[in-house]
Amino acid sequence: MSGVASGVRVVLVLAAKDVRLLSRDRVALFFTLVFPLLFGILFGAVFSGSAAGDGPQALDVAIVDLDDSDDSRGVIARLSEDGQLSPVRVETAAEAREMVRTGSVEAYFVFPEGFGEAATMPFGQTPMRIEVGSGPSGRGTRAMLTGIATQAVFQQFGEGMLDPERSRQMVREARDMLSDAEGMDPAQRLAIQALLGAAEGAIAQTPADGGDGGGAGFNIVDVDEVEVTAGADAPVVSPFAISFPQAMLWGVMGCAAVFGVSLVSERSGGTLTRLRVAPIGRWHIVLGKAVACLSTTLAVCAAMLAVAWIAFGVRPVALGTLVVGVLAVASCFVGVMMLLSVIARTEAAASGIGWACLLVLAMIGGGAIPLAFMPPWLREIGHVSPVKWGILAIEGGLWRGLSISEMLLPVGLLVAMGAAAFVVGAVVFAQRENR
Amino acid sequence: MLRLTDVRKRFGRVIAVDGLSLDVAAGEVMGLLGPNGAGKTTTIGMAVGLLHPDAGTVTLGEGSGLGSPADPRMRMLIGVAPQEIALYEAMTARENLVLFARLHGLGRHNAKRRAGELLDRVGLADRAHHRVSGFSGGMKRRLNLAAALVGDPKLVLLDEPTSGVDPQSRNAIFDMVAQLKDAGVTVLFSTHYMEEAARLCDRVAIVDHGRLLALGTVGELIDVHGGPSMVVVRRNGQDEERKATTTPLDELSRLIAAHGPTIAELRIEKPDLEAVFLSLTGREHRH
Repeated sequence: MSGVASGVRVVLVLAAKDVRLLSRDRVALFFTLVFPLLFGILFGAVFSGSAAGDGPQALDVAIVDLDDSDDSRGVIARLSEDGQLSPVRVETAAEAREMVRTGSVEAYFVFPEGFGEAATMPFGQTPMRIEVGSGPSGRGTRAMLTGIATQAVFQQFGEGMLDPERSRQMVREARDMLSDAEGMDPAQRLAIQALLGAAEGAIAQTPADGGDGGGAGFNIVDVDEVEVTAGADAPVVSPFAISFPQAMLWGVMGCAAVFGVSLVSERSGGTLTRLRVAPIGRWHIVLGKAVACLSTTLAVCAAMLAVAWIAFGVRPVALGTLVVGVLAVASCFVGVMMLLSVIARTEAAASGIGWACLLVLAMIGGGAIPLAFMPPWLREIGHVSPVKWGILAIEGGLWRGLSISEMLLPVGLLVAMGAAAFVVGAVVFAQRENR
Repeated sequence: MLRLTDVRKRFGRVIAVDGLSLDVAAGEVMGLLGPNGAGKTTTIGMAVGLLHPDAGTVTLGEGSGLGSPADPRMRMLIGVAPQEIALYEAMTARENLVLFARLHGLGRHNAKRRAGELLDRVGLADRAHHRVSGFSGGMKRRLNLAAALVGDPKLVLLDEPTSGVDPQSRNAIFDMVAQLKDAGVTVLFSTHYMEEAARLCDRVAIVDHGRLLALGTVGELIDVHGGPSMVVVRRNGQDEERKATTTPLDELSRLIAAHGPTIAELRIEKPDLEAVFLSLTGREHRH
């Protein structure tokens, strides 16, 4: 047997040993598989019916003003008045949808051309239209944004509509348009004339101060809600497609913690001594642990995706991209595992410190609380967390449909973070063992 | 088979091994005898490549096949039973031995066969499929020793192999060492039990404070370091009297001539390994 083949065999034997030990540790199994599954299912259920606007932080939204009228600008200005939204202006609807898809913003508004014109013609056949879009998890977000948009429109136009003089002016303009309309069905023309007459009568009875609730009967704005997915042809995304990437990251973190601590256990329990006096190299020991962690992590991810697929109908929009994302995540956390294995000298300390570090990474990376509900400074800090990039990398293939170039950033960062952590961990391990 | 030449090892301010030289011949059973903290485990650690000496050299092998224990290929020659039980408790006895056998290069089939043989030798065949976590201390010690033998080593290093075991397991371990000796395997084992060293060893090295204090057969050590014999006499109605002498037979004759009818008990106490040990390492307590 060649040296390489022999080395690979030794690594696989060591990895199989670690997987076997994991399979007999019920607590470790719980944290690597059961807990993440529960997390995914629970949060998936929450996403299914949540109102995402409960968070105290302003929601990042993209705003596209294709109308560019005084009316559209007025409504847009009102959207950010109460601090619930943090708007970013972009030029096109496609650009806004892309920002939602890639996670740059949580939602978007599009004010189409004709918005302002419709505002001056409440009795016309074209109501004011606004498009509101968000990701698959954002059903609640869209509902909230629809309410905010409607409120802004009423704030902008409500007083004017209740002003009798302006209302009479609108009716006059409508009569002029009616008289100019050629080829209209006479019956329809008569009906509209009757409606305008009735409206004039109603306006004449309206007190000068406008009264209360006078505008409630007008449907002046029509908000189209749009769910942003990988593309126009992509299937509707299950909320579980949002919760399962987060859950998978918890499983991956569980694997990193379990195998990191296991190396500490080997040291404190003496079995590392046994391995070190065996006729194998130290790199076999490190690689054996890495292969065990990698294979278990991939198995956990595969199992969770299978559950998501079978039980919750989650269908990845790009299987190849998903595989790349999962591989990048697993590789990264193998490095994290190596780092955790040298973070302390006792099992209790390694477990405590390791989980504390992982929890912080999860918190700032959106593994526990969605990034949208975090303050901006914390979101900035979250860039250093592999959890954030891990979630994005998995979502890239699961529902975002990220292109190869779009995947380069999260995958590259994950691989770089993992490699750095692995090298640091392996060097410290070698130094400690090289006494 | 194993040569340590002027090896030194320091941990911070503590000098664990201080210029120790030792030459263990092929087929020899050598005991490394010393009090706690004498440097026995550090010496074995350096002998198997776990620790790098700060100075000096460690050489394994015979003839042209010499090398350092830091070389994994040279470690094919050795088997080690560490002082601490170095076994996977969540795995069965058989799984442990198969794992270590495979790390020594055995194929799956041969590893299983070898594991079966060794379990039989250490009296654990009926517990082969039981997890180690359920074993007694003695059973774990025997399995720990079996794990040292999976690679059919030429040199076996045992670090206090009978520490904390019951008499049955201790005898089983003694028997295994005797079998190894009969098979021509070189054995170096550390202990602080005199009877073990006296019973099993061809030669004994007494170490303390990281230094080699004496080396030889048990008889040689006693002759050189044991001091005088003790003639003990107890006369009727009196306490024992002890007299150290280098000519015990002459002293015996003198006592009989002087007190013959009143002597209730008369004997000669020859110096033993414990006397050698205490004379070399002192009588103060060690921690």
